[in-house]
Amino acid sequence: MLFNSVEFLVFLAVFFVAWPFMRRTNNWRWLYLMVVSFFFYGWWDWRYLFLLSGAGLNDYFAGLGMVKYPSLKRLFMGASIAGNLGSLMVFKYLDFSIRNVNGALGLLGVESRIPLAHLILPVGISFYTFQSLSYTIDVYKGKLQPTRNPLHFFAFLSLFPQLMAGPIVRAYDLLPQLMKWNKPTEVQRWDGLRLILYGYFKKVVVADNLAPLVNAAFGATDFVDSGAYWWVVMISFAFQIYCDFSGYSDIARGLAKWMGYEFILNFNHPYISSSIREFWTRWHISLSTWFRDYVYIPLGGSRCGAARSHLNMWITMVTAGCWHGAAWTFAIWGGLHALYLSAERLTEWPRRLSAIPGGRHLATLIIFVLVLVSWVFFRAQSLSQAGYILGAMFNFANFEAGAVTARIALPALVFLGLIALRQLYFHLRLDKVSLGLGWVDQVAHAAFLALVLWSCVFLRGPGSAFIYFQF
Amino acid sequence: MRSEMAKLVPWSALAPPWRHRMLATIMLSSALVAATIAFGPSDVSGVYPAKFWLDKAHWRAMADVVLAGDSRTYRALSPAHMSHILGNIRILNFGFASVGYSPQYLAAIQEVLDPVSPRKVVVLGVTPYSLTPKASRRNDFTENRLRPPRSTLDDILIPVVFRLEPMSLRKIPLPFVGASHYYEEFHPDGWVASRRVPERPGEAVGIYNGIFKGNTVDPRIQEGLVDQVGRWSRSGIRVYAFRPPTCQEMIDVENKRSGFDERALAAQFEAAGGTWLNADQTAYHTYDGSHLRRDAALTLSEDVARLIRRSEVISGQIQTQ
Repeated sequence: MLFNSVEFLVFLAVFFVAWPFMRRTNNWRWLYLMVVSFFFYGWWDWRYLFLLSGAGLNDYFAGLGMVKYPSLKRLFMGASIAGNLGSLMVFKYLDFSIRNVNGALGLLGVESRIPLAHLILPVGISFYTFQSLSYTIDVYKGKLQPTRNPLHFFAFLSLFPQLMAGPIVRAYDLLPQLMKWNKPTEVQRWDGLRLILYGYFKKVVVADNLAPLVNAAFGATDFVDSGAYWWVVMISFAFQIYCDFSGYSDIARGLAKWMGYEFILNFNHPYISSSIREFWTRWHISLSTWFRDYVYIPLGGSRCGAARSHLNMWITMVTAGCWHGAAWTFAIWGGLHALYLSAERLTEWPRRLSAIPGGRHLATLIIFVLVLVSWVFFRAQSLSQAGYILGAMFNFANFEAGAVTARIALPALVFLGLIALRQLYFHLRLDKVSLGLGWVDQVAHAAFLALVLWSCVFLRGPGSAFIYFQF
Repeated sequence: MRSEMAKLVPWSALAPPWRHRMLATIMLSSALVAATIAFGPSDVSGVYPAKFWLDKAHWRAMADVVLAGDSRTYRALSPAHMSHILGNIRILNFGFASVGYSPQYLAAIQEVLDPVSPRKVVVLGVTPYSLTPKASRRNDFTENRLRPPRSTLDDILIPVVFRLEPMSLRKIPLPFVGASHYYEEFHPDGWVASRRVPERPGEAVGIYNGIFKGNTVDPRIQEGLVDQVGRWSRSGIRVYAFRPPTCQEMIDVENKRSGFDERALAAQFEAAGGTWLNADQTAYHTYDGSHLRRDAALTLSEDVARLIRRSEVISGQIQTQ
């Protein structure tokens, strides 16, 4: 069920009508959350509920087993990892592996080919497997006591606002919250409304209006050999993916607030970062912290010398790239960010540049360009397409602006301009400025949100699924 | 102190400001949306588009004359104006966007004809694209045909959904560019009168330059069309066809890239018992290089009707005074 669909709005209305009555006791609250979340997930395809249930039961019992049989902790941890990563490997990476094996066999002159499995990727599998793994890992490390109530566990695992595309909420964060019922405060309700409306605006107005431009560019049969065109396309994609993904996260956080819960902030204006290190503290925060805590630090982090810390960082970033999709382009995307991080660690160039007057702005611009270059690999359908695009972007001898006006509709550029201005607003820290106008400020804020809602209805683009659903 | 104050002022005045903001937001946004629904400009008039296409896709046994083809037909032929020439008979425009002459569409054309009509006529607008495999596979006709016929719930929902349709920023007069409008009138007889302000004479030509890549005229589809014409002719249905007029640049692109041979098709058509009408290809004004402007469509409708009438007189189908 998509957040930007009529059936979801109906679902939400029904959910919140019954919520005040269902939340009062623990078991009813957890049962209700689990049932509605399963209904939400099963709306897409009910058969994959078995996968979600199976993965959940595996980890629920693994958590209990680790505490009851401490000597077998590793066995239970292994079972959890095998279950979660195993299902990811099968559904997400099996055909990719087969294609590469077939390619290798072809190079060796072997005629026969392994047939592809053509398995459909269950929506949200990358998110809920990581969320579930965080539970068992934290129990294993002794950071968390396992819950003895399966309803409690499944309410945590399947909670519908974040089930399909995050944020990846840690068990030690959400399980205690679910132990209580919290009537949302007035501030939570207002913040929730703001987040939901901004989230929908980012998704249905900005991302969905930029999507046709980006999809047409990457899907065109004849390559447009204009640097100006591809810079506009890549900037559009940068904001499309940011608005699409952060929009979803905002809606999820807003819905959680209306339920009386708090989810982790997942995006914190990443494009105003003045270093790649900072970028990764602002972009998909729940995933980057997950990889930091469960991959980078267990590998040794930065505690084992400079060379080893670079290696650990490369492994983490390339793995994070592969998490996004089963294609070499995603691995290269992760590798590029690893390269950027290594260069930063070795030279400290962002810090040095930011120290000079105006340097922070220049550093922000450079980081944005570096991130844009990496997005080429993220979005391209093949390595060769990525190569052609980068070649066009950096061929300054062919910067024909006519290709932009001929191929890109003006409304898309208007939305791009709007979101770029918004980034500038946060980059210049104008959000910290308080005008202190009292009730005028209240009315202005309400009017602005009313306009945002109006825009979501009348300026929405052609509807599409959220980009991160495919991960 | 607070309890003293509460006695003197309404409770709402002591309510936290967040509740006021939420109420104000909900009220303001409802007012904005309602105002837009009530007073927002629309370039579309006539029948609601969703109702128009859904009804059209399910027409059965309703017409004496059926006009068929793709967007160059449904925008170009007005049944009402044709009836001025052809007389008081039931004419319906059964054209759909990007439709191809698949067996399914041809069967549906026949279903629109009233089986007890004494004078059954089919008029086909044949564009090169309508004979390509892509056109036959997926188009507005196949998609609307798959939906169930309009229900009472649709009657309630269609106007609401229409009013909530997103609007294009191009309607707002933007600096250096001005406003852009695409006016469409959806008529119950199946005609969509169209015009664009400002016009974009070469727009469609640019699109059609690439549309025939790997998708040229399929001889099997053409053969299927001709065979159906033969079956209709033998069963007493008069069949006419013509190549819908467009601009010279478009004709050049189509002739060069699509594999369409109008003369050969016309000969096969006539051999099968149909009548090929030679409409003047470039005498009518298009607004985008492909589709006729409203006034040009009215002229074409009368011209095609006259050609049919002349043919019917010659063949003795109708008597002149």
